[in-house]
Amino acid sequence: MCKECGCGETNGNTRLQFTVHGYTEDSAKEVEKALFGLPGVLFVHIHAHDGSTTVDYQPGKTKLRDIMGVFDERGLEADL
Amino acid sequence: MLAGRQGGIKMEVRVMKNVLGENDRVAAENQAMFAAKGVYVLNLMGSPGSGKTTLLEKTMQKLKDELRMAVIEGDLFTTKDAERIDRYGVPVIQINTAGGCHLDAPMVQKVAPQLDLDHLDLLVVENVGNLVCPAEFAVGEADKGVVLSITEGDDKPMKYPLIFKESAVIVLNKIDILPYCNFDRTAAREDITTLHPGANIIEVSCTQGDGLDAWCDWLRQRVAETKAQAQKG
Amino acid sequence: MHEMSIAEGILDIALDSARENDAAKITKVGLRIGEMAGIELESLEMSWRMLIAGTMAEGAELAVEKVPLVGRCSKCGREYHIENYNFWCPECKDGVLVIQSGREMQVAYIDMD
Repeated sequence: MCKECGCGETNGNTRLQFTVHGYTEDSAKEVEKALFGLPGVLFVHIHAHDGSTTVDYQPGKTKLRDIMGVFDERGLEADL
Repeated sequence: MLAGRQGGIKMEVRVMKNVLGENDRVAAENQAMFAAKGVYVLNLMGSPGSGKTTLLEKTMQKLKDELRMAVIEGDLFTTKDAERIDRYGVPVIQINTAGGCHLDAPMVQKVAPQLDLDHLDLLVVENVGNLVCPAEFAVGEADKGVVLSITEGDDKPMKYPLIFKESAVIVLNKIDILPYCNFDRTAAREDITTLHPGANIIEVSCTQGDGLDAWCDWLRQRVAETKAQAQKG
Repeated sequence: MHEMSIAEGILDIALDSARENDAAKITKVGLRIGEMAGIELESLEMSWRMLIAGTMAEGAELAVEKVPLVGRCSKCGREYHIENYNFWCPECKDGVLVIQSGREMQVAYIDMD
């Protein structure tokens, strides 16, 4: 949705902010990349040192379980 | 959690609700129409000044005697772009949105009857210069494409993720002036493929000619696929 | 066309309606699909069957009413079935057929228990 001109779906994007346990510097980068590759994910930011994770995504294009799957596959625990 | 309900009473509930939002519905209609007629439609997007119209001029130079082309031009105001296309003798329709920041499916549906769809191979819809809104509005295209010129900066894909995710082809234009810009080509390409795994990136210089053959080959291929599909259906 | 996302849209509408009406099971969804809607019915059926597994709509059938693409000429006022997406009036030659029906993509009714 275009927030400036108001055009587009009114549903908007969903922002998730949560903590993940078990990141290393490398795994955090790799997770960021994997999340970005999901069709509906527009923005990802991960702080490896404290595990704080932000994901902006379009629920219509990517399901929450697909996002969580990225962490599950890598044995990372995400506290939503 | 269902409210308790006894006895399995059968009901027929009248709903009469549209399945898709209005734009998607009209876009689906347009898409069905173009596909049935074997016309390959590309929704070409990009920032103002990225080189969309110039790319079309070069495309027409190379392909207009080989493929039957038409263009729908989208701009807020002026017919400047339609005039540029017209000089090549390619049928062109200018849509002026008078302030609207993107073309939408109803706009394209309204002008489509003016085209000779029965005798067309390639229709390019050149969208309003904008990296934000057009990505949200299908117009009935088979593919979306985006032109990113290197003068815009290598950080743009990450800043405008949706349009890069949605595009079947990403044209990186003005590569001839890479030596004079701070554009990190590797970083930009990597960001694009991070957002869009398997992204089809074609590097071109419209002014110098680099990459235009690869671009035209891709268009030829999509046109051929569209025709083959129409013959089957 | 993405028949799976259309099937999802249909299921959303069906589930919402079932909840509103306190139903436990959906047995049939009636659709009105216009000729010009661009839906491949086979793909839609397949997507639907995959999607409803494990939901309240498991086993529900899709009943499709196909709506013909009919246009009325802006000049002579006569109605014609539009063939091959040709929007010109067969009589007036330069009159445009304005679509009256055939663009629908709706959930018409839902049978539920």
